[in-house]
Amino acid sequence: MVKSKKKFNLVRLVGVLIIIYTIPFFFPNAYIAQIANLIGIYMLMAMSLNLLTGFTGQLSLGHAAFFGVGAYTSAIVSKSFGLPFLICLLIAVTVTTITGLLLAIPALKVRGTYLVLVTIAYGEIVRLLMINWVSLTNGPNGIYSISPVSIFGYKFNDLTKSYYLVITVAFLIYLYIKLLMESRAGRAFLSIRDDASAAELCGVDITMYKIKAFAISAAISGVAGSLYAHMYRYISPSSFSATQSQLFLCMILIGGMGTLPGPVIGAVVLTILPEMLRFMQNGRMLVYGILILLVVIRSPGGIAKYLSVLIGKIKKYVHKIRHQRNEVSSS
Amino acid sequence: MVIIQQILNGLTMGSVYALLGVGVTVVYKSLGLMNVAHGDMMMIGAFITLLIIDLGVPLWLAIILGIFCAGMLGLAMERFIYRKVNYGIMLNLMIATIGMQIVLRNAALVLWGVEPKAFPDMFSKGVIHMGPYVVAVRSVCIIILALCLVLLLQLFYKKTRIGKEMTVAAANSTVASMLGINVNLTRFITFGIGSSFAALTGILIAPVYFVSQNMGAVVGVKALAAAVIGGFGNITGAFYGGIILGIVEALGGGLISSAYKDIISFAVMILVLYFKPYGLFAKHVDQKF
Repeated sequence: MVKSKKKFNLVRLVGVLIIIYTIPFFFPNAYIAQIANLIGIYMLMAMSLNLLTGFTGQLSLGHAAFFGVGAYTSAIVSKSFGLPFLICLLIAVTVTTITGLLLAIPALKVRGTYLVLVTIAYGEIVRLLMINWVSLTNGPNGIYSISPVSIFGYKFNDLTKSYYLVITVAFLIYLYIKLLMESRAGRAFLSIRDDASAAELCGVDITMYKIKAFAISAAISGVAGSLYAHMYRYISPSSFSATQSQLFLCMILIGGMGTLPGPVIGAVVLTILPEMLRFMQNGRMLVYGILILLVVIRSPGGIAKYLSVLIGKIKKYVHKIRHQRNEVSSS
Repeated sequence: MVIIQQILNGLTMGSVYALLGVGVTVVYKSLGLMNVAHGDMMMIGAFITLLIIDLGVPLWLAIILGIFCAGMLGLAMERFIYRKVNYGIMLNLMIATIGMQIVLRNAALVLWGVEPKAFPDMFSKGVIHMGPYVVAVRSVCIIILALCLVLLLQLFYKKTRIGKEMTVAAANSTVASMLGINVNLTRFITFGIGSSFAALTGILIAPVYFVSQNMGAVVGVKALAAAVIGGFGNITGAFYGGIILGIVEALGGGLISSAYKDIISFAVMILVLYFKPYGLFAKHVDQKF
């Protein structure tokens, strides 16, 4: 039984891999390819937020700040020292992790609504620094002509190549989070989310695991930010606003908070949807907001939960039909 | 010298933050919900009033009608959206307010466009000289108005039957419904009061800041900051919190750098949360989420 389940998982894994790696062959134009790249980056961000909010229960409305710190660090290091991409990425991840740890200091003392406020304030501070610290960040104009991604001399200079890069990174991070959640740390995260006092009584070091969740989540955002800066080669403070943080939260909410596929589904749906609504111009974000309200009212668990319920129903139906058939044949 | 003048300047913005903070607190007090959409409700209130003024209604009547309409809108929002979301799950409710924020801001974008619109001034432009210092008449009016409203609100909660019922329902909704209090009604009224406060604040700052689709974005977060500094769920606390925030911001802007004044106020908010997680004027409030 266990073996067959594993085999099924392997089949599913290969299937998913084949699908995500053949998608570029169906890119009709650069516009669609661009959106596919953006989806990859948003998947990373959504997974990062899901680890902190969905699994550990620490609600954050300042995740765009981590994203921005990653992007800006990578861009500034690359522009002023001309370092290769991988080193920029490493520095970006390090700096983002440190800011994550810094945020953890006040965040450990508060919970719920108060934590949300700390993260909102943190996000605003980072955004305002981006705008006002002109000597470092070039202010509202942003930083342009950042060097494109290249790893050991291989340049990811067109959209298809960068799609492969981003989707591979996203896939690896997905696997990492899956393994993490099956480990002791993952169980500790879940226990903190479900009941922090009970977890503490059972000997879970809450403080340590919360810090860990903040650090890992920030590091993943740093990766996403660095990739974003080098793929789009232009960054400005407006890409890292509070609205963006809300968007990430909506992604995991609509996809399914605290589930592994949730953030992936959310990132795909919420990136494609505004593009599909583009014909409505100003009205598109209105429709988007109404959709969020509808999801919260109608299916609070998000799409992932809805799908699993649907799949459960189909399985039950299939089972019932099989059962009836068996009965008929036996009689 | 400069410092005292800066403090006087800070009082004006402070009382605006105070009114916003009180609006946020009214909702938090009764539901434990942080209403992210408060700043945008303020914007909508100002736009509705502007619309009524454009119909040719005299200014004072338009303001009253505008506040009334915003209150009605708040009631409608509670009835048709928030009530449908499970009140037991605070997270979903807060996400609903985020959704509401996106809807309100973009509805304004569709209806009124991006350009800021001028708003007629209800106060005289004069200034009052107090020795070497100067205070605008507008500031004095706003401060007095804010004080009166907070006192009225306190009286409402302490003296009227429905106000008392709202306090009980806020403390424990199950017990309240056992006692025969209509908990849904108290929540309904809460949103009405919150929205009217938001609209009033919008009208007060509109002549200076203009009415634009984006006016609630930063100020909305400041409202939350004011509420936090004073201690969430505590109306007088939120009032003081707003005043303190305004003064800190004016001092920081005047003495350090005006570009960094918003950063200073958010940093103060984080510091307050770090050192006094329940606010400066904490009466302990049940944290529902």
